[in-house]
Amino acid sequence: MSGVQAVIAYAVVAMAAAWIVWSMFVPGKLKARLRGRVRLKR
Amino acid sequence: MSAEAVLEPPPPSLADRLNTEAAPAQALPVAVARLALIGAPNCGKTALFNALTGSRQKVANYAGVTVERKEGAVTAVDGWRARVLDLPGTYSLRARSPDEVVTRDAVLGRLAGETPPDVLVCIADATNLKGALRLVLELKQVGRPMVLAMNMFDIAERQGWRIDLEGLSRELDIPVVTTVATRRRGVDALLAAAQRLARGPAALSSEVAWREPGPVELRTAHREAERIARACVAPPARPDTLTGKLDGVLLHPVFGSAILLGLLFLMFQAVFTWAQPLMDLIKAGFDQLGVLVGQTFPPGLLRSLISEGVISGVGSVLVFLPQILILFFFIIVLEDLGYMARAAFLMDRVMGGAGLHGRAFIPLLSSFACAIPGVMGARVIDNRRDRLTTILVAPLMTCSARIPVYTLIISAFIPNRTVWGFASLQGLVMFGLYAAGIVSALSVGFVIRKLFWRGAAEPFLMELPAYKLPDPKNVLMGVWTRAKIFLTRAGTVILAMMVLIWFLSSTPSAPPGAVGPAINYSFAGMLGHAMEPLLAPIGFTWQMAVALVPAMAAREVAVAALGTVYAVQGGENALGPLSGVLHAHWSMASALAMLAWFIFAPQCASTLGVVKRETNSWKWPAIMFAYMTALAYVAAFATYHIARLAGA
Repeated sequence: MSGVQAVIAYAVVAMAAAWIVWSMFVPGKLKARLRGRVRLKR
Repeated sequence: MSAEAVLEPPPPSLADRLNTEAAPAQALPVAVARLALIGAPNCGKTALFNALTGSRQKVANYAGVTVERKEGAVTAVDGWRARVLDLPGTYSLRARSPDEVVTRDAVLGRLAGETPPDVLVCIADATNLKGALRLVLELKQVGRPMVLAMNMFDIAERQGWRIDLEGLSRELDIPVVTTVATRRRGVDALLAAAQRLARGPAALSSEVAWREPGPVELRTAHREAERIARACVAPPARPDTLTGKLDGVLLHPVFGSAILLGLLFLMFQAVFTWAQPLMDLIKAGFDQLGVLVGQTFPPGLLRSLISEGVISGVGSVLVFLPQILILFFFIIVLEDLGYMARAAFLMDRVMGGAGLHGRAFIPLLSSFACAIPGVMGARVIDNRRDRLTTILVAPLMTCSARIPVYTLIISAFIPNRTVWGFASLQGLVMFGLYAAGIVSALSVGFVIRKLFWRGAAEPFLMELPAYKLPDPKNVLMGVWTRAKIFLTRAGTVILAMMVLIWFLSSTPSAPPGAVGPAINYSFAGMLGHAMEPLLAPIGFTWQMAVALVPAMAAREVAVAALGTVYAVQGGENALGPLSGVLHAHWSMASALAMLAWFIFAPQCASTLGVVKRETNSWKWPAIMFAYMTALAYVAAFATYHIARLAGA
């Protein structure tokens, strides 16, 4: 049971870390491109 | 081959669409016209924008609330659709300040990737038509189809203004409609008029014709506006004397200033006395939640994460929601009354003495909510040095993110007793901290403008708005918006940070045979101990150091971080209010040093990002961070050592 708790807890930590990196360190233009809201002009 | 990322282009103008529609065998886009709302400051453009689009942009009874272009969609009863642009207020297209440049460029189609609007909706305050007519005459030269919306028409009628609408329409040669934006009156008629214009022949061309008028043309336009006003507008038989009488008291150099101070004093007393029952309720809710988690989950990492990371961390911040809402309730009511513009007038002498431009008052006032709108609001200042000075001092005003930090330390260290027979001591300290923020902003402004950027003071002209009873819907909406912002931050950045802090505070676990709390051996403990030598001279413990790092994301995270760090450190025995825990672990001198640190605290990544955007350079955010960090350190150092000498 404690093993399952650890897996869930560390998964939550990983998600939180990923969200912080995404929201604070990824530039807005790159985010928009990754979300598909911006198209490339050649 | 080069690839360049561009944002989606704006919807094509009607003219472009009609050209497209004329071409056979092409997929036709849905017809969407573009309407631009233009008018003098504080004539109700954003209120009309909200009424048209169902949006909830901030409106207030003073000039300079909107400093950037906003866009929304509207659909008429018959299904006709339009995009609506809300633009910053301006008296003329001869733009001087950055916000006025946005309006001019949007009207003339000079913004990147944009064509001129299909229809100009010129909005006039019906109680102050003469000034608006000059803008109407100037906008007519642009050559786009235009409709005049006479906003606040109910107030004009109540005051006894008689306006010949047909005559006005004839003189100006444009349709005229009456509106009461706050009650959504006249919106359908306005849309119908705009629709007729958008479908008319004048909308087919996207040509604009405007050049900056010379002094002769300006005088001619002024005379023409006066002539039209004399012909079509009759002032009230009994002029409004109430505004004059109220202003006689509220703008009086002595009584007015005393009333302003009294209002601020009352506000902070209320923040502490009214909020307490609600705060107790939220605290009890989180305590119950903690008990429930303890009963539901067996001991383990997940239970520790939920109770020590999420509940102790996020819960310790959410408790301060009532105080923030009460503070903003007062601010929004005073804004709606039209009092804040008077406060700007009263403060102009003080601000001018400190070298700040009079128009800096509104950006600095916005900074009480958050420095970000304050920094953006500095666009209303046309002189670059004045604007930069305002941007540099705006984060010194006490933003709402500092409230949880201040309140936590005050409730932990300042006794909850009454002084002078009526005032709460805790409220007085809070008042003092806000005053310290204002004084430090004025002092830094003084140093910048008198020592580094000497120059003549720019004149300050501001139209004082009419007094109005606060609109309950607007007040509730404003308070709700603040609540939503706070809850969103608690549910996103603060929650994510607390999960990380919990991880850093509980990993790695203590080695076998370790003495002392396990957190001492964790990553957070290592980080805190590494920073301790730097922060020890200002009286900060390593736990305080741990709280300062994540506060870069948002200042209130410091409170949540302290909640989590002490919860992890104390384990199951750490139950109890965080203020009690701090009281047991910190000295009075350290607590006062922490308060002094947060008056100047530079930790807010979002503010630094916005300063970079507004100044288009990393130089200014770097200067801001450096000078605020230095001031915070010096202030905390001095406070700590003076308090120690005083025996605290």
